[in-house]
Amino acid sequence: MEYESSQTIYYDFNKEAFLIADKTKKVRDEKKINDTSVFREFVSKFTANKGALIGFFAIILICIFALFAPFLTPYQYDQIQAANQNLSPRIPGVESLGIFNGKIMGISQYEKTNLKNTYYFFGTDTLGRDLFARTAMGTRISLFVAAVAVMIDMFIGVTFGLVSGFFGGVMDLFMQRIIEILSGIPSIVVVTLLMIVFKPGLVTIILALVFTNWIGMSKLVRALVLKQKEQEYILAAKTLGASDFSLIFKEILPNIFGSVIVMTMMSIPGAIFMESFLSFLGLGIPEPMASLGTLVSTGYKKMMIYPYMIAIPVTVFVILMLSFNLVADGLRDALDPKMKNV
Amino acid sequence: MEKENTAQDEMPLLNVIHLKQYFKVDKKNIIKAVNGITFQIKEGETYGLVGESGSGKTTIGRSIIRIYEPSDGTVYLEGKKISGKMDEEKRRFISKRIQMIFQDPMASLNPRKKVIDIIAQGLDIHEKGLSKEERQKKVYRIMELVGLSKEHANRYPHEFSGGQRQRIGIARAIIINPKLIIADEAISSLDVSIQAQIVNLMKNLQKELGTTYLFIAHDLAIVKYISNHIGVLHLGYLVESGTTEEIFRNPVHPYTKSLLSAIPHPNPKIEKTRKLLDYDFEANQETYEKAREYHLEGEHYVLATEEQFNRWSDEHPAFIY
Repeated sequence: MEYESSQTIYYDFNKEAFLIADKTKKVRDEKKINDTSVFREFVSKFTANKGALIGFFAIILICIFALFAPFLTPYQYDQIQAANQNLSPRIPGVESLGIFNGKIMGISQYEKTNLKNTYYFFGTDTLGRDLFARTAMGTRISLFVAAVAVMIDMFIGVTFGLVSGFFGGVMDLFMQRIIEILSGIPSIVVVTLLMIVFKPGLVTIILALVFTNWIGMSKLVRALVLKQKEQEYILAAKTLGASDFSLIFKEILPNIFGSVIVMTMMSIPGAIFMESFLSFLGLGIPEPMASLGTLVSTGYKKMMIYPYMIAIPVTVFVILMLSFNLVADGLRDALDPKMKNV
Repeated sequence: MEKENTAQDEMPLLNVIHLKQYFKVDKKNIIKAVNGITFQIKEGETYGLVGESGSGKTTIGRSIIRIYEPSDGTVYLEGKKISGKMDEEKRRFISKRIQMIFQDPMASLNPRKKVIDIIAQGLDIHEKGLSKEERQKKVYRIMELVGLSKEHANRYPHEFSGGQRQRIGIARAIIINPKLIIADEAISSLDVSIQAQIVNLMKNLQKELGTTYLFIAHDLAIVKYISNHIGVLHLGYLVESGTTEEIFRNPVHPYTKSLLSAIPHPNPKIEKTRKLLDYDFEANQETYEKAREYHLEGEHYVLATEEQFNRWSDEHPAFIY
């Protein structure tokens, strides 16, 4: 620094403490901070989580099972064969290991009924229907309900929350009161009321989900929007003249999408459980259609004599629920570490 | 008003007259953030607005660009009234001609958008028919102008340092070629060496593009460096305004004096003898409401009551009037 000559001050300093700068080298004062893309970072974080990975593959396996299992067995899920009732699981090859050999208390039902070359992988129920095909059908229903739950969350929940949070004011006040009323009604009551109008079945369950399942999501989205709305980048977009539509969908939505996905995954097990629970109570899928809930419900009656009838659908159900929860946790950790305590 | 009588050779780019901005806290309390501010900015110049935290600097900027609805007063841009009732046409007029550079370079960039999309946002809104190549070309040109390289275009904001992020913010503001840029504490959150870079960048851009700045800051040293005119703001009142030279050579208002006394001097010997002047604003707060603007010299105005004005002119040797 140069001062005026009258003010020049000299300082003593140790000359060895300084180096002559190498001017041939270009000094870059601003350096790249971080080079990883958002997606790659997400993948590496997600795959580092063992539980989430296991859950992810388990879901894929269950999907494959639900899609293709009915083709592996010659029996239809609603095919009643009175002669073949209450047969326990028998799988070729595995039976020599002492499990899935069609024996109950050491007695093979298959030999008793003279069906030596017949194999029911998961056994049959009290009407002689193939449980393998029925479990696959039930899993399909559960996965379908999961998909519906995702749709409802995504479309109704997210839209409701975005609009309510973004526009605020009177509209927000009005929309929040609607939510309060809806969330005050237990979903079981909603279903029972719907039963008066509709027959029990998938439609009723989906309607019940439509009425109640998106409320948590919309509350979360609203809170996230309220937070994002105050950010300076929204202000910046506004001063550039961005429309409300592009503010909502191009600025805010990408920023809350991680949390939205996590929340969606979290809500899937709840929806599947609700379907099974309603079916178990007899409010859900009617016969001869099968869902995991109805399978558990019918198997439960014969639990003491034929435990496989309940054990198999429950196992599939547990794996499904656990997998979705694990994946949701993994997604949350990878996408949205701040939500860890939610 | 005395100020309006002074003949101006050319129409100022921005003319702010008696701007007031009040905020309702609840039914009883109103915060008066800005109390009747009047100032003009000429085209191609930089107007520095200084004052302590809470003095209303940012509020003025935001009222002009209509993030807030001004409670009272008129604002003219290029002779066109931009205050008052808002319609679509007016909004477009404002957003195309006034842009803003924000204080926090991280918060003001959307973390989920690529740099190219952040910078091109103004183009996407105001020049819709642009082909992809043209858009890219324009963004690259602006990036070069602000000292970023092309390779940065496809990265996300978190991959940049603070100074680079502020360059992105500047690029976003200048891409639609605005007449006026409001730099709202644009350098306050940067460290000193980067501050110099950004201020120099803004100066160079002004030379090249002829942009006008409303430079909001609390650091007088930097304001002195970049501004042609300075307005000193306190509690929502413009206590003193004038050219940079007038303010620094001959500060009259005790608040301005106290602000100037807070600038550290590079020479340690002088720095040792530097005295901080206290300003007892509580004693002066009430006088603001009664005070009026006095013309001193050239474009130098000060807010004072008659009694204050006489006292200051007595104790001030350089005070001519």
